[in-house]
Amino acid sequence: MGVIQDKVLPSTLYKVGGLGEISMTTVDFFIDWARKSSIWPLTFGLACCAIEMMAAYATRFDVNRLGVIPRPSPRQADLMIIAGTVTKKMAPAIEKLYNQMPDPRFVISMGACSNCGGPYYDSYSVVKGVDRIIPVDVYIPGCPPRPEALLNAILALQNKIDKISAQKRALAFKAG
Amino acid sequence: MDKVALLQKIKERFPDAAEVVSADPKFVRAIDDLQVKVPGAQVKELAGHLKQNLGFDFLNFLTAVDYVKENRFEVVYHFLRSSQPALQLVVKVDLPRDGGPTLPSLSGLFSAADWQERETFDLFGIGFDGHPNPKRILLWEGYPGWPLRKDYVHTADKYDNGSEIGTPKLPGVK
Amino acid sequence: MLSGPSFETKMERVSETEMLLNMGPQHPSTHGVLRVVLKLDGEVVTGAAMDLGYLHRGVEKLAENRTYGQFTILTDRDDYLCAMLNNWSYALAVEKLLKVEIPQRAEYLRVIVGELNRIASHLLFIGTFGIDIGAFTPFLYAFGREREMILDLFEQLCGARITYNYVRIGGVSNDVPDGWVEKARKFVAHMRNCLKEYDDLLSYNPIFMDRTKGIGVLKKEMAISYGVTGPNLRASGVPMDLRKDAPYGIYSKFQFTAAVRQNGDCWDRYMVRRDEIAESCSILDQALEGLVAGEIMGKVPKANLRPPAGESYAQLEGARGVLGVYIVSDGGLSPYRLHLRAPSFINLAMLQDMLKGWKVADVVAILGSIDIVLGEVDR
Repeated sequence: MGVIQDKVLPSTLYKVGGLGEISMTTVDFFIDWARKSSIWPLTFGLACCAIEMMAAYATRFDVNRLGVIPRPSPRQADLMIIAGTVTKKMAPAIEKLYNQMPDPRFVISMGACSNCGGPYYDSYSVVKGVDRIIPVDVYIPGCPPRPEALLNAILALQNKIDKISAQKRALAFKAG
Repeated sequence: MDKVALLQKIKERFPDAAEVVSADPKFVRAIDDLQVKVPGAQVKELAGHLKQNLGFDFLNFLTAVDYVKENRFEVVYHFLRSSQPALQLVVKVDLPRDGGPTLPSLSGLFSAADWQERETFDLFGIGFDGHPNPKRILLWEGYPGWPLRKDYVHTADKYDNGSEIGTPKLPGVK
Repeated sequence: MLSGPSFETKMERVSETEMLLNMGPQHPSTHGVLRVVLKLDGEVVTGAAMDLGYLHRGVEKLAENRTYGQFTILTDRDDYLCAMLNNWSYALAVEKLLKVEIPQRAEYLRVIVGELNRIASHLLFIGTFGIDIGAFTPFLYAFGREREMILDLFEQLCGARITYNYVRIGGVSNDVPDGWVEKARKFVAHMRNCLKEYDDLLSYNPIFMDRTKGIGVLKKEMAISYGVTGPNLRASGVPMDLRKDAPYGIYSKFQFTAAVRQNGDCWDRYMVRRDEIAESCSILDQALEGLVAGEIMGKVPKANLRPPAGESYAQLEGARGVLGVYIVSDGGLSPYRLHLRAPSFINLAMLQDMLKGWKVADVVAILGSIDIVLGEVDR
């Protein structure tokens, strides 16, 4: 019952005699909580940032405590962490992988190379930022960013997911 | 075997081989080992001779340099002996820049030349006759131009001046 | 760009009993973005072709647009697992042009960080090779415990965990902080004990030995013909180690043996790297003992470094093989031509011939045992 006592879900707690406790909340909040607590990224490391991503998966920085389990297939993943330089030869593959991921899907761009081209900004074969190919939700600066920065990005993504249903309702309200 | 003796042995079979000296005395040649320049047609024979008779069985690297002002390519081969790695030999070949420069391929003698010749072809456009798979290796088929040439002009493609797709869309929102 | 018949010329037409299987570029076991196309007859591999270039960043062309000092950071990112050795090899090549004297303390520090980085790279190899075979625990020990200790040492020394930019032209950039030498000594002692742990856990594990002993044999002649260097060559019986045969820096002062094995299979390649960790520990002991006081940087101009016109080539023994840098300078601020002799690129070529005749499950073991880094393969 920690979910309710820790006030993770905005909910009202009723004590029902003989049956225990019942919590009332909205489906939206519940779905957002479920989505953000089990983000499964695609194992997709391109270059040096992939090593820091591996360090984040390993024991010291342990990203598993946030519910993150790396999945090898894009069909089973809902996050793609672009860690490393995106080259023009690799770009169609990234597009294809992004298209293979089912909704809701998120993208974290890790490192300077995938944010904007990085130290290779003037190269003839580097795409200057992965957001020229796919939409990005969170950018992590650094070359390479520390594993703590990746953890911070996942937390920021969790905050973003939290707000999805609230934004949807706000937009629907505005649209009338 | 020291440099002078090695040069002698090479010149016995290949009288056209000459030690590389530069016209400018201030040119720092910081490669201590023997450097020999041969005409392009003889490089395969020389490599065979080095491998069979002189014990240089290891091709360390091969690459090219574009001297655009002198209108030539210089292809550099670096050999050493696996039993005595301290002794190294550099073989250089001059190629004219125009008209599709080609050289005989060493991939029959040294398998190490296979991919490195493909890389030199990919980046400089130097062809290698007799190569089993003369295709680009690092860039893709149909890439316009030879990037490492000094007169390479980059043609912008869809990733260079592309439309920015940066704004993420919320799921379910049209 | 993805498909394309560019290498089907290497393989004959596929018959009705054969199948083409595409591994990559996104694959959990290819150690990066590498594409291997396998021609299979049931489970047996009858042909293999490789498609590279998915991480080709044009570093050699970028060198012509950077000053000599600025290029050091790009060398870090080539073989990002042993960045110190990359920095060092580039610094050696430029120092040959400049004919500058390196202070003794800088030489000792270079050896210390170089060997620590070699241990870190081999630890990562042990971890990822174990994962390729299916053993997850050694990864957590080697990568998550020991390698993090080394990265802590590097972070205290120069502020970075992976890409250091520490070995500069003319010396090194920072001096060691207080207590660092003591911590490094403690780590070396700890590392020696851990090797026994890895042996119990992985090296002599029966399942591991079944999957790697006798698999992917690389004969001596083929290795020499393909220009293979480093632990791959030493596992096939050729004792070529540049630290002993053509010593650079102050390596001639240290007593150590090059780890050599005879069979050339995956297990030998693994054991050579495991033995090299032990040798690096002994070199580290001697270097930490003999660290002299003094300057850490030679007489090199801090800005506007213009080496004289010339050419130079310097090579050293990297964690994956002979790492060389060939520079042609025209006296300007940037190199005229810079070529990297990348060991992983040259080692990978032999895979096309080596995979024939083995089963699909062995492909991952063989590819993992060669220990490539895609940043270096594609540059």
